[in-house]
Amino acid sequence: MAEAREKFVAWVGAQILPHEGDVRRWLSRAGWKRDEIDDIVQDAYCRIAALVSIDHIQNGRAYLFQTIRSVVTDKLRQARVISIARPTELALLNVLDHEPSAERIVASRLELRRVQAVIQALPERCRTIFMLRRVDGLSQREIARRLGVTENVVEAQAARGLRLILSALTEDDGGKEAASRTQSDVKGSSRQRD
Amino acid sequence: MSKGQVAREIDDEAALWAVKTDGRDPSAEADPGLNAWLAGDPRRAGAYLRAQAALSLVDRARALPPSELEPIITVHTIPRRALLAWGGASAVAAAGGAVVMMNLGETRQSTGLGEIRRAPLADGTQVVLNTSTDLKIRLTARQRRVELLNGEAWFDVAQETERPFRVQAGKAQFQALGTAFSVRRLGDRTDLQVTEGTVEAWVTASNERAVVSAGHRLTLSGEAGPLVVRPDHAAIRRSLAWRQGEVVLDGETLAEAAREFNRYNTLKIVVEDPELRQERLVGLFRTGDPESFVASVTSLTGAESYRVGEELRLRRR
Repeated sequence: MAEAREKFVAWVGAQILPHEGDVRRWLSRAGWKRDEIDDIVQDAYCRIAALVSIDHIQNGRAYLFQTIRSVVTDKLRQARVISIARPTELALLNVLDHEPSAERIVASRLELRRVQAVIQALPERCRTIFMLRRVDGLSQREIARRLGVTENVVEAQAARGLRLILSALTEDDGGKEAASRTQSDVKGSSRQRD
Repeated sequence: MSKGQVAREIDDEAALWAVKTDGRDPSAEADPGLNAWLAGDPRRAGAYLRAQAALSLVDRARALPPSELEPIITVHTIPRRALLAWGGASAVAAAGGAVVMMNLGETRQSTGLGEIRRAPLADGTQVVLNTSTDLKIRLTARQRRVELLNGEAWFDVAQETERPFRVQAGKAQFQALGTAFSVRRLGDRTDLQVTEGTVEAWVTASNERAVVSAGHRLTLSGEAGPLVVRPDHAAIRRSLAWRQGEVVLDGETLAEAAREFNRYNTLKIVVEDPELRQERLVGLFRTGDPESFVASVTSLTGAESYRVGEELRLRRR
């Protein structure tokens, strides 16, 4: 069971996560706002987490897009007001995961290179702790002892590093996303953040 | 779905849980705190999975040494004398060098840009010509000779002990008996890839010879560069994918990939940034569809593409 979970996590890391950036960029181009995208993506991971088996999934990228599509469809169904723009988006979404070559990408060392670069770019303290933990395999307690800080600090820094890596990997187009935002808030959702 | 927390807050907590449980004995994963947290909101399971997946990606990145992408090069050049012992007759015949031949039965085969053609020879040998390839074929009573003027061809040689099959590419010479191999000649670089049997390789007017066996490739740069042989089963399978009209990339740089695509198409891929040219790619693509390839590259690297005439240009945003 534990082993299966580990395999599953590794699969998500290799087959799903590397495509999240594309999904986010696309959703953003389609006019979804940042917090909406966060919700959609999180919902998709939720559905993936609920999978009993991944044996039937041949292509993680296509599966992610398919999942996103169904999350978006449900979201639109729930929204009482359907905008004129939305059906086009759905059509686009249908096209997206059929890009033949993109669909056939099996993995990407490029992605791993990027991870390496992102780790290098972490704030120093964060990086030190992250490296000690993951590269040297030290326990949190040992790291805390060596650096003369509390275990909570170590944990918080490691988590911060992980968050930075995740956002660098999945939404590294920062400003552009905001620029491409449109008057998309037509569903009467008044949730505002940031 | 309850919206007590925004997605981002859940992601923060998930990262904390992921590092907290990281490295613990997974069978003891029933952490009551974690379970309680997960039970608190159905969205948390997804966020936790995502955070754990990122850690596993980090581990994979760590496992990728910088040198892994460089080819392993081993040279095993065989001294001339040893070679004579190994394959006396053919080596002696080759050493003669002079081409004494009746000029009969010379045929020429060529393919245009993007064309891949199968050309069976009279002796039963199968030849497949890749894009923009030019071959001269001469079958005589005593010899079978092919001259590769340009491009790339794959040979599945019909076995005939008394009539050696030889491929010449510039000054590079390859001789086989019942062997499958390919020779590629682009500019001053010649590549030999052996898929079956053994091929003997040498450079005209040089004493150096190499025996290249199945699963190995030999690269020759310039007119008389050293004969470099390296084992590379997977790479050979990959680089012969062109016979199916496909390009398989496994860690090749974008520059190499672009060069490969440009061999097949009038629409040329141009990569502007030097740094971008060094990006390494993995994937399976159709040789005749540079646009899809470029679309994948842009989505993977965040580069952007634009078209100028017959050029598909890539640059960093």
